[in-house]
Amino acid sequence: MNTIVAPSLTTPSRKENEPLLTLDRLSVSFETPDGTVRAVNDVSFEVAHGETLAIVGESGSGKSVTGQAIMGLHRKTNGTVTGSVRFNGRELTTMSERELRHIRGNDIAMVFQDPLSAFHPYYTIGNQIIEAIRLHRPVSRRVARARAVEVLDFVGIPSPGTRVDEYPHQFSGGMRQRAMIAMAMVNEPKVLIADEPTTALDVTIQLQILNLMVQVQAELGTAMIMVTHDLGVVGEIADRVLIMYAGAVAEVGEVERVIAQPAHPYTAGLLGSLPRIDLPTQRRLEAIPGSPPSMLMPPPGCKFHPRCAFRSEEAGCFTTEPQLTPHAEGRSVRCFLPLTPKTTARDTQEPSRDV
Amino acid sequence: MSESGRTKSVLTQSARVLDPSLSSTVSRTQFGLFLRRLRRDRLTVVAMVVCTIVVLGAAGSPLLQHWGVIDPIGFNSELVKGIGSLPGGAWGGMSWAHPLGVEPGTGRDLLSRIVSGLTVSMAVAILSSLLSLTIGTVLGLIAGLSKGKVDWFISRLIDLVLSFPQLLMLLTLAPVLVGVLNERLHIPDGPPSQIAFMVLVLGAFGWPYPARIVRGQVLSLREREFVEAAVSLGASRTYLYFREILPHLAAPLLICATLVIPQYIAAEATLGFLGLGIQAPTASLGSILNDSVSYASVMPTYFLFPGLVLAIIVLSFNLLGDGLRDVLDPKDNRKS
Amino acid sequence: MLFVISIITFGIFFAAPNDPASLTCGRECTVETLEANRIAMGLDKPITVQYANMVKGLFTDRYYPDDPVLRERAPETVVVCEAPCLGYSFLKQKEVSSLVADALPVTVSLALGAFVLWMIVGVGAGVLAATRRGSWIDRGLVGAALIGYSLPTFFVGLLFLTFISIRWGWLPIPYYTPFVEDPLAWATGLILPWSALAVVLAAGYVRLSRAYMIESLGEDYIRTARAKGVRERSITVKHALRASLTPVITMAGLDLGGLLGGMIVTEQIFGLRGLGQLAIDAVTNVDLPVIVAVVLIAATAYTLANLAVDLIYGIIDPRVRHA
Repeated sequence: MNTIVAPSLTTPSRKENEPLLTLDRLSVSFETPDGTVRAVNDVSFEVAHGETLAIVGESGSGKSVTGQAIMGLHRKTNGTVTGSVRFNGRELTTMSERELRHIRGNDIAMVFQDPLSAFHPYYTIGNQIIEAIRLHRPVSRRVARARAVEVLDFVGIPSPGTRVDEYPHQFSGGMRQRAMIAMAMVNEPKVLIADEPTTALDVTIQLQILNLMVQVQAELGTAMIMVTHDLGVVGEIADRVLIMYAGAVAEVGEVERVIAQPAHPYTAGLLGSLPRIDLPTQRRLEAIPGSPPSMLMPPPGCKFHPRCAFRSEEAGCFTTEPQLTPHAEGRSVRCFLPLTPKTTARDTQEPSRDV
Repeated sequence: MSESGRTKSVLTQSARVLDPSLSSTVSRTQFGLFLRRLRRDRLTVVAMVVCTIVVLGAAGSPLLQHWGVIDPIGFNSELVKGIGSLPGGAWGGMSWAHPLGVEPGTGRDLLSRIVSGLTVSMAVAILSSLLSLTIGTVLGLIAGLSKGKVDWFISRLIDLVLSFPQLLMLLTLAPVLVGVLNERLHIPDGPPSQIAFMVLVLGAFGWPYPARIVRGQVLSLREREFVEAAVSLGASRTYLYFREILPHLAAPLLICATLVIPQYIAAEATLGFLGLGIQAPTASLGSILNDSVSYASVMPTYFLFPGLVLAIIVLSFNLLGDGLRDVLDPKDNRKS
Repeated sequence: MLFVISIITFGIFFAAPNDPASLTCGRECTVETLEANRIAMGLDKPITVQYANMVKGLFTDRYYPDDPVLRERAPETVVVCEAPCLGYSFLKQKEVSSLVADALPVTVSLALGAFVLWMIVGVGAGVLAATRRGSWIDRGLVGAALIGYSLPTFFVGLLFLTFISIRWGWLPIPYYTPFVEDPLAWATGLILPWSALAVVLAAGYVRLSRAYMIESLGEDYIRTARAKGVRERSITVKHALRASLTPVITMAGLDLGGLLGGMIVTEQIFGLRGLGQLAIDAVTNVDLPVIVAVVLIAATAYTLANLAVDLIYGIIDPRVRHA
C-alpha cells in the first residue's frame, strides 16, 4: 500500500521538511504499590505527513501506552512522562492542558480498541460525535448534528439519520467501531492514532474496518499510527513498522524490508508465529518460547535474551543492554547479533516473501 | 492406584491448579503479600491494636472489677455535693482517682463504668453479629446454590426484612420479647433477658446484609472457571460446596463481620439512649449514655466521654474492616 | 409486601402482654369499665376480625366505639372515621389520620431538608476527593467521612444541641414552624437537626461516590473524552459523575426510605413532634392503631423510594430503558 498524499486537506507545516510528529526519547513510567513500572523506554520515531506507521508488539510491550502518551493522556494518571513529543513544531509534553485540549480530537484523534467501553454508555452516538465537533468548531447543534450524520454515512453506517440517535449498546461491534472512526475523523485530524482498532472485533469484520481506515486516510490525507499486535495486517496498510519489546524499540524500518528480512530475532519470532497462506511449503507455526518480561523487574542485559534462540554470552546479551543502532538503509535494530539472510536461513522460518 | 482414586487425585490436582486458594505455594505467597500490604497500612494496624484492646478490656473487666482495679458500683457521695448533686470541681469532678470524673447523684467512677460497660456492649455486638452472620450465611448459601423458587423466596424475605422500619420494630418488640424470654424460656429477668433480647432482635433484622453478600458471592463463584473445571471433572456437590465455595466465603465474611460489629455496638448504644436495652444499674455504653442525657447541658463531659469512647471503638472497627477489605480483596481497592 | 408487613405488625401486638384497654381505663378502673373499654375498642373480637375491620376501614367509613350496641346507647359519643380510615386512637381521643397529619409535615420537612443537605455535601465531597485523589484534600475528606460514618446519630445530635444551641447559642433550639407560615423560620428552626442527620449520612456518600467516581474515571470512555479534548470539569460532571450516579441513587433510595430510624432518634433529641415521637408514644402506650399506621407509612416510604430509584435508573441509564 502506498502513501496517500492529499495536500489539499492538510495545512502545510512551517517547515516542509520537518516531520509532522516527532517522538524523541519518550519514556513513560508508572508508580504502583509494588514498585515503578517503566512501560515505555526511550522511544524515538518520526511520522511524516500522510504516512502510516505501525507499532507492533505483544501485550504489555508498551505500544498502547506510547500511542496514548503522544496525546498526553497520562497526565491525569500516576504516570510520569519524560522526553519529547513534537507535533508541527510544537512541544506537546510541556504544553498547558488548555492548549493541549485544542490539539486533542482536533489535530490528533484516536480510535480505541474496544468501541463498547470507549463510548459512554449513557449518551447517544450522535451526541458523542456532536460533542467532539462542538469542542473544536463554533457551530450550532443543528449543524453539528448534520455533520455527524454525514460522517456516519461516510464510514458506512446504514440509515445514519436514525442511528445517530441510538445508544452504543444498540450498535453491533463492527458498527460501533465504524462510529468510533467517524468520531475520530469528524474534525479532519492530521494524525490518527488507532490503538488496536480491530482486536475486539470478529475476524470477518476486521478487514472491513482496516479497509475503512485506509479509506479515511485517503480521504483526509492524515498520517496514521496503527498500534497492533498483528504483524499480518501491518504489511497491508503500513509504510513503516516499529517493533516494540519490553517498552523499547526493538526494530524499525520500512515494512516490506522488515517483513522480508527481519533483523531482530524477536521480529523473526513474531513472523514465524504468523499463519501464512502465501507460503507454498507446509510448515509448523513457531511460538516464541517464554513470556514477556515483568516490567517491574526486567531481566539484565538484552531484555529479550531469556527468550532468544540466538543469544550469546560473548556478545554480551546477558549483561549489557544493546542500543538501537542503524542496521541497513532506513532501518535500526536493537541487537548485538542482528539476523542476516544466512542466520535466518538456519532458523526454520522462511522469511522470504513474494511481494 | 484404583481407577476412582486416580480420577479423584486428577480432580484435586487440576482444581488446585485453577483455584488460587487451594494451591499451597500460591497461598503462601498470597499470605506474604497480605502481610506486606498490612504492614504498609499503618492505620489498619493501629485500628487492629485498638480493637484488640477493646476486646481484651471487655473480656477482662469482670476480673478487673474483682481485683478492685475498677469500681463501677461503689458510691462516692462525698464528691457530689454540688447543686443538683453535680460533682464538685471542673470537668465533672475529674481527678487522679477518677480520670474521667464521676456520675452526678451517685458519684460512681465514670471510667470504671465505661470499662465495665464495654463487656455488655461487646457481648451484645459480637453475639448478634454471630447470629446474623450464621443466619445470613446459611440462607445466602441456600439461595445462591438452589436458584429458582427457593432463591426467589429468600430474596423476597430479604426485601421484607429490609423494608421494616428496624428501630421502630425494636421499640415495639422490646416489651413483648423481653417478657417472653423471661417467662417462657426462664431466662432471668434484668440484664440477661435484655441482652438476649437485643441479640435476638439485632440478629433477626441484621441477617439480610450478610445473606446478600454470600448469595452474590456464591452466584459469581458458580460461574468461575475453577468451579466449572471441577464440575467438568465430575466433582460431587458436597465436594463443590465444602472445598470450592466455602473457602472463598471466608474473606468476605470476615470483612462483613468487622463491618457489622461496629453497627451493633452503635445499635446497642442507640437503644440504650432511647431507654430500651440494658437497664441501670448494669453498665453498658447504652445505659451510661441514657443516664447522661438529662445532664447533657449542665455536665457535657458525662455524655461526651462515653460517646467518644463509643465513637473511637466504632471508628476502629470500621477502619479495621476497610483495611482488611483492601488487603484481602485487592480488586475492590477503594482506598487511595 | 405492605400487606404482609401489616399482618406481622398486627400479630406482634396481639402477643403483647400489656392490655391496651387497661391503659385507657385510668386509676379507678373497675372490671366493668375495663370490659366496656375493650368492647368499645373492638378488642373483644378475634384478631382476624380486628384485622379485617382495619383493612375495611381503608375503603369504607368506620364508626367508633367499635360496637353497635354501645353506639346506640350513647349516640352523642359516636365518632365517624371517614375512609380511608387508619383507625382511632382511644388514648389520644383522636383519629389516627389526624394524628398522622399533624406529625407528617414535621418528619417530611426534617427528612427532605436533611436529604438535600447530605446529598450535596456527600456527593460533592466524594467527587472532589476522587478528582484530587491522593492529595491532602482527598485524605482529609476520606478521614472526615470515616469519622462521620462512625458517629451514632444521637451522639452527633446531642453534641450539636448541647454546644451549638445551648452552650454557645449560635443557633436557636430547634423548633418546627410550618413552611407555609414562615419559610425562614422553618429553615432556621430545622437547620440543626438537618446538619446532625447530614453529618452522619453524608459520610457514606463521600465514600460511595468517591469509590465509584474513581472507578468511572478509570473507564475507557473517560479516556475517549480526554482524547476528544473535553475539559476536565466537563469530564468530571458530564461523563464520570453521571456514570457513577446509579449506586449513589440506590443508596439514597434505601437511606431515604429507611430514614424513620434516624427520625425517631433525631426527633427525640431535638424535641420535634413528628412521626418518630408519635411512634415512641404509641409504643410506650401500646396504641395499636397508631403503631400500625406508622409502620405502614414507613414501609410505604421504603417501597416508594425503591420505586423512584427504579424509575431514575431508567432516566440515567439508557440500557435499562431498552432492556
